[in-house]
Amino acid sequence: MIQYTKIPVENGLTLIHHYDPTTPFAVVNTLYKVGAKHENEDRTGFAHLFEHLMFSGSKHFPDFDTPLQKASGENNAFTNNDYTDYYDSLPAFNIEMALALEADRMTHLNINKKSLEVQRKVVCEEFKENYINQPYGNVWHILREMVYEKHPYKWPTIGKELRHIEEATLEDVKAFYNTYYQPNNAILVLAGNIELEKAVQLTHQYFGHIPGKPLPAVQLSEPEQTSAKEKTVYDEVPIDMIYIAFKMCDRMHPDYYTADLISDILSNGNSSRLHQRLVKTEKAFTTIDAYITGSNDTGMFCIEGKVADGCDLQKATDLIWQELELMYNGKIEEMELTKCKNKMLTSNHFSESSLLSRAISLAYFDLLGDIDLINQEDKRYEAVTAEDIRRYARYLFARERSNTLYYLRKNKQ
Amino acid sequence: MKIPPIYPIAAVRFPRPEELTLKNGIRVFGFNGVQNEIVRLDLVFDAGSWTESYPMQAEFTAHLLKSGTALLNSFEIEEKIDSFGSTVKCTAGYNTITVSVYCMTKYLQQTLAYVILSLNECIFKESELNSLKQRKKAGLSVAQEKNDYIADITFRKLLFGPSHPYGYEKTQAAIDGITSEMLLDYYRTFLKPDNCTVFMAGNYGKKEIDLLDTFIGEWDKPGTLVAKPAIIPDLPPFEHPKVHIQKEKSVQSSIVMGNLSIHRMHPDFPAFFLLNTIFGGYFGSRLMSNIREEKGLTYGIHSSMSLLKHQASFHISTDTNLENTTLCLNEIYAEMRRLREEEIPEEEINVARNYILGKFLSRTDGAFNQMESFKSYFIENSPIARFEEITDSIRTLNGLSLQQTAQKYLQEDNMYEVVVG
Repeated sequence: MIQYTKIPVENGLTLIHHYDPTTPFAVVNTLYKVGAKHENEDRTGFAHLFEHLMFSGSKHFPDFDTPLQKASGENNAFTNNDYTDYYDSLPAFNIEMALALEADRMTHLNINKKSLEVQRKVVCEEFKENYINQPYGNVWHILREMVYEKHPYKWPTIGKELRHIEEATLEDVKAFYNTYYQPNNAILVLAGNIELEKAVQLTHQYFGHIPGKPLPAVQLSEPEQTSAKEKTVYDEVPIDMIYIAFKMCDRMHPDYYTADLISDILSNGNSSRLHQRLVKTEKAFTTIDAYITGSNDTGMFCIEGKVADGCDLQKATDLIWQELELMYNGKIEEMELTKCKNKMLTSNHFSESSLLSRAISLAYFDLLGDIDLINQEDKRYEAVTAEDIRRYARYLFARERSNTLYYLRKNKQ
Repeated sequence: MKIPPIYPIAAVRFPRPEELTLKNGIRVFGFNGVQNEIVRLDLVFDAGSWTESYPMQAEFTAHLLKSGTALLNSFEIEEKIDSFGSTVKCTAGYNTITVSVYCMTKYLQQTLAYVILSLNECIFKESELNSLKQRKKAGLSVAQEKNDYIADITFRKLLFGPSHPYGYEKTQAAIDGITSEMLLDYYRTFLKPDNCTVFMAGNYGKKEIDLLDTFIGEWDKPGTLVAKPAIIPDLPPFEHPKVHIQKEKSVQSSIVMGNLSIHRMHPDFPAFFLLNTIFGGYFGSRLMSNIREEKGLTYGIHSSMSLLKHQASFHISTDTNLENTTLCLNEIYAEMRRLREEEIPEEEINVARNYILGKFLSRTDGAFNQMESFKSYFIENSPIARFEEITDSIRTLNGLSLQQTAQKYLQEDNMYEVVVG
């Protein structure tokens, strides 16, 4: 159970306070409701590039990191398709420094030619390090493009291509900042060894004067898929991989929990179905995983497997389908469901023990639109029945909704 | 805006664990105090690569630990553990094999029963071994495509020598050569009560302590073997320190450089630790400021110390655009030179010092962090009091002593250098 208080601020900023007197630390977590899905299709990678620029310094602080480190703090940020999150962790007695820094970069970020030039290069190196110079590095570029027809989830956060980042101009970047980096587009979490009154007072002191601004309306949708898609790519990779992906419900849909448990029954832990049957018994794969992306809007359910040497690709694919069909034609043992629910519960309890993870989660659940869900999730998982699993699997794993990607060794061509 | 004042961290003290000895002599170090009813337990064995007579023996033994007994197969064991919602991870390091249990406190007893069963009755079935070999070989062939992996292993081979437990390279052929007998032999020699120490953290009470005494304290393993002293090759002489490996179609090169270094107990350690932080140990470091934030040559560049039980080492690693490789190498050496030739300004030292104190404070924050830090001190054979000594000396170090430390430890001529790309 995570205790919290949610306090709206006049300028539209949402303050969430979470008190933990057992730690000497405080966390300041600022979530901006902007991610890669707010980008224009021929200007992708912006939300993430912008995250880098947020460390360029602001009016009162020529550099973001130094004052925070001097205050014995640590900070970082991440961007995904739905939002961008910045977090600072420091001794509670220095919390004001984090607030001053965050408020200053919310209004007076120092965006200039030099910082843009450097961060463009840094992000290009990041792109190369993780998505080009890596076996299977571009797989998400290909998969997303296959799965999504309309929704901006069709490109990954890093951006569709290197060129979009190389061509980002100062004007583009400034416009992005002015549009999205507003208090009414942000959720501020103050967590740790700081009392409620103090949190409210400091928030007003540092953020209260920042005016809110109207935000552009976003309408995103994604049609149902009606026919199966398949694609084969050949590259310099050591092992053949098979990916099968399906669109699934959004994060707030009641069946989200069902889908998550389906992926767990298939592949969470060594006793799971895919590992036991396709790796150990059939020896068709050396590893195989099923997982969901957990995106706010229409999500993805993915299966990915490294094909064992000598196993026929068609046979490997058929074996996956056999398992997917068993999820709705076969029996779901009570034991399978119980163990997945128990594993979920244990893992949630462990991640709750970290103050930083509690702070980030509070902001995330508020973004979803129902912060109280943070304390309801265990019950939602608990409520899923074997019948729910079969019902949702039948819809989810329809052949015509599938996207199959064969990522194969070049010499096989 | 009024710039808020910054307050320094007062003395950081490491909370001492609850310490007890079980009936069979196994020592337990416990850190209590987590709100949720969960517990983590690490059974640490003095083992790992250091004690192998065949490459990867420790890793394979650890990864097959839950692969079944004469009566229960791997699925039955794994399914039981999963059904409690518990996770049991078996890992091998350079000097340890660790069995880590993550579970709800109420399932500690049931989970431990399967852990002890696996520690006593694993039969290392041929089919399980073969299945693991396939997985390991596939994983290795993917890793071998990665420049950073190749750079790291090449560096370690240079540093420690190709047949040293800290330096050997994993190969497909060595995986093929592993037999069940080798693993069984290793299992009997190293995974036994008199070679085990337990670290515990979470929300537990007297009931759980009693459980430990029953389940771990009464653990008796029949048929154990005595370890022969490990034969460790001498470290190679420092020669041919620069290795460049060409790799076709790379868009980036991976760089690793560094050398053998000093241990935590060495009198220069606190100074070198602070110096390393300033050099490349955090986001505000000189390497990050110059090579990433100023020149945009890389996504990240870091220097760090690896404190293995018998030998510490120091290394710098990064990935950079192919055509910038030489520039990047030159800049790294230039930053070393600056630290040797110019005294670091007090303000810069102060930022790094405060940052480190914050990091140290976080290691004492909460039972899980406490257990992690305590355990690593224990494994490398450093008393936890050293934590406080290091903290205290980091407060008092000045520019002059850091410059002398740089002159001693950051010499270009003493660095190995590996480039893959």
